[in-house]
Amino acid sequence: MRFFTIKPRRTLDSVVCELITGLESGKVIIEQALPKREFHHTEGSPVEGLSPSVDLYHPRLAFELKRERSSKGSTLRGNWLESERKAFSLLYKELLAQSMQPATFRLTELASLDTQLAAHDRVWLVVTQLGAAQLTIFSYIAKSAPRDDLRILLAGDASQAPATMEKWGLQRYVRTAEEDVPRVAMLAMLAVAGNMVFWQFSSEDRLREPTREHSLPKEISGLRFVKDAPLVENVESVFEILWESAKRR
Amino acid sequence: MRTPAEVISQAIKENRFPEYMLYIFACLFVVAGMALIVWSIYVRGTITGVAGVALSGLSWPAYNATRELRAVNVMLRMLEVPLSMAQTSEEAAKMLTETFAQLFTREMTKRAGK
Repeated sequence: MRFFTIKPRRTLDSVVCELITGLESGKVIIEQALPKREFHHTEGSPVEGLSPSVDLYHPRLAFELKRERSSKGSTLRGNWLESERKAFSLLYKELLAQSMQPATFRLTELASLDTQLAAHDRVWLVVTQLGAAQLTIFSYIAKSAPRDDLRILLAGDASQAPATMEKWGLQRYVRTAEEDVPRVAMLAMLAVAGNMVFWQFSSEDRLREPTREHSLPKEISGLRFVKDAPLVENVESVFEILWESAKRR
Repeated sequence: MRTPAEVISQAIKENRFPEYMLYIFACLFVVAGMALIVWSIYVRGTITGVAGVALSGLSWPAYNATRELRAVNVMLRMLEVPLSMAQTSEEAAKMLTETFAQLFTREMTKRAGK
């Protein structure tokens, strides 16, 4: 008789079983098998009409951030800026390598959005903290200006984004903790260097931390932040802010 | 949606508690046993000394159980090696099914031999 009856809670066979059932049901995914472009909407979805070949995900950014976080621990927030620098630097170089020239993306009102989109060869949109207002905007863009070269980076928070993505049938997006969404959004904003829409519905204080500019890599020090984006509650004010921001550039 | 690495890490994390419990038990048995032995020398009590040795000896099964648990955790982590080679979910599921069948057969053979 064994003296100690303390046994592992999870044995090899139980984990293998979980993995097999997860892989077969799609709840567990193999990272290598992730398609680069994955977008499919369901019938009646708010994004009906959007081209299925839209990039919704930047795998390099997501994995870079994820790796940094897991190696240093999510609680070690003091090291986060270093990972931001690395991740952004990587993205920026990649964008330069793709010869993506920044262009000012000006928005006056929702109705002119499709014209604005049409004026650019390639457009990047960054959607953060998906909520009702963001869905309205995104739905409008999707319906009014479906195009293959629209690049969308979703920086959803851990609580809302999965449900929203599931509702849309979306599989890939940059998922971060809620408090990190502004940081990811800022990285993306800098990465696209003005050729984007930035929606920030969170507390403006997060954007005003003085350490941000000092933490930038040298090659992007000439870019500007939208540091004074106030807390916005409706679509119109988002576009006002964007317009004001574009005028300042 | 999770990756296999996350599933495995979660399982290993769940095994941490019994592992730490066993470490604590092993340490407690050694310390208490040694204390009894020292006390028996001090009071010249034979029975206390024997009890101390017996108590210290209990740390061995605790240590053995810990080792087994660690082996399970290592095996779980090793699952990542073949999974990292799989290119598709179907491929990974097939590979795992084969691994599971092998493990099951090996376990049954081992039990039958006992």
